Amino acid sequence: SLSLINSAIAGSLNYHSKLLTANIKNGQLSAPVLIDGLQSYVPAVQNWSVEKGSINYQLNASYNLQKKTGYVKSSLQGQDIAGQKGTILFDGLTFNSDTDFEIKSANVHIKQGQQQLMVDNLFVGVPIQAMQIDAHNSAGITVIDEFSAHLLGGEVTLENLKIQPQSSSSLKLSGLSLSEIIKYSAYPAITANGLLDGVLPLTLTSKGLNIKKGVIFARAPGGYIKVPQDDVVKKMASTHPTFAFTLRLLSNFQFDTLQGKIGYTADGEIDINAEIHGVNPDVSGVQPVKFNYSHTENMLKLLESLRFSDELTRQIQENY
Amino acid sequence: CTPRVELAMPSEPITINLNVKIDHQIRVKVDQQLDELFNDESGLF
Amino acid sequence: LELSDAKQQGLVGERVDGLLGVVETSLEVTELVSSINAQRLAVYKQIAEKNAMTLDQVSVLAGEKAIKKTPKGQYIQNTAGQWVIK
Repeated sequence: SLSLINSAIAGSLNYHSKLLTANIKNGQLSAPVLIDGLQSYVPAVQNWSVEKGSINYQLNASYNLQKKTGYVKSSLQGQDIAGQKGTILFDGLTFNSDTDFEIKSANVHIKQGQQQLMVDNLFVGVPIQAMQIDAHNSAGITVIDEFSAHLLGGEVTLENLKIQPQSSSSLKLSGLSLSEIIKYSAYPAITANGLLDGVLPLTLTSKGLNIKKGVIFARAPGGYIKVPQDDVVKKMASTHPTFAFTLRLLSNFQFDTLQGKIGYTADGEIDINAEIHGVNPDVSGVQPVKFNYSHTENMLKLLESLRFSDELTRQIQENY
Repeated sequence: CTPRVELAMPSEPITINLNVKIDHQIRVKVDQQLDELFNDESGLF
Repeated sequence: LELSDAKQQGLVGERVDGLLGVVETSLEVTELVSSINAQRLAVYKQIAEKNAMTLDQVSVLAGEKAIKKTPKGQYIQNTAGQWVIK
């Protein structure tokens, strides 16, 4: 508990003519001990569990008791931290945080700071590798200078996003693999090929981020979508004749262009409208096919159910 | 004369539409209904 | 024989398909298991109808739930179908 943390904090604290100064050269804390100690005090940390990792810190502060002003300069470095937050798993997490706080009577605010977070592996339902966030704080505002992450076979990047409502930026997708995306969709049996790039303009709202008029498009030369004609598909086809023809066309749909529009709202609702041009050599020969596909789903719920089933399989595997 | 076989490119494309709506709500509702079953009072768990 | 006692004594366990399974067979245990499963299936059918799902889909979700909520020390069936203690 907190006593464990107290024992680890050593430094100099002195008081001289109304000036209180504190200086900690290089303290080190084990991340599991810190998180465990904070659990009963900080609600936000309650569903965290950290198995390994350490945090180094340097701190110096000065406070003028008379003027009731002062500053705190803190520098924190986290190394190789691993654990989970709820069902979200992470490992290889490192961070560097240099922050200058200003104290004016009772309130403390950030004057300026540089923050960096890197996570080797993050599992949110879909595995994310090599996530990196570089941010800075100035004049009370935090700005994400750069965000990058590898997932679904490709890369997602973002630049210059102020963390305040109505600020905007755009998420760039490059080389996302259609087959990887489908692997995490509700129809993993579909096989596909093709790389997607995209630009998703996003704006921050008080509830989270919104994406309007996002565009995705398949890289040349396109790819294919093959919906297996299994019993679920056959049953659906038998009850809806027009649907049967669509499913037959999608059994081996070779496409050369794919253009999609994407919208996303902070509550997790995504809607995709894609227009895909191609042919099914087995069915329509060379006659071109225009395939309009629209898809709506709650992404946050999808990710949650992916994490839930993953955790369940892990629990079962762990037990024998 | 020999019959001329003309392979005319079919002009207008076939258009197919597919609208998919995945509702995870079902999962949440069912989850709650199953929660009621799998607790001590139900006598079935 | 009470269900909770049967579970504590390791006579029965939760299966992946949402049904109760026999771990230690005896007349009493098999009677208990078939009675519980009959009642569970009735509930699953009801849930399936109310949510436009198939019985199998509800059973799989029920299995996930039953295994997750089984306390440590009691039997659950693993993906290979063997009985293991959670």
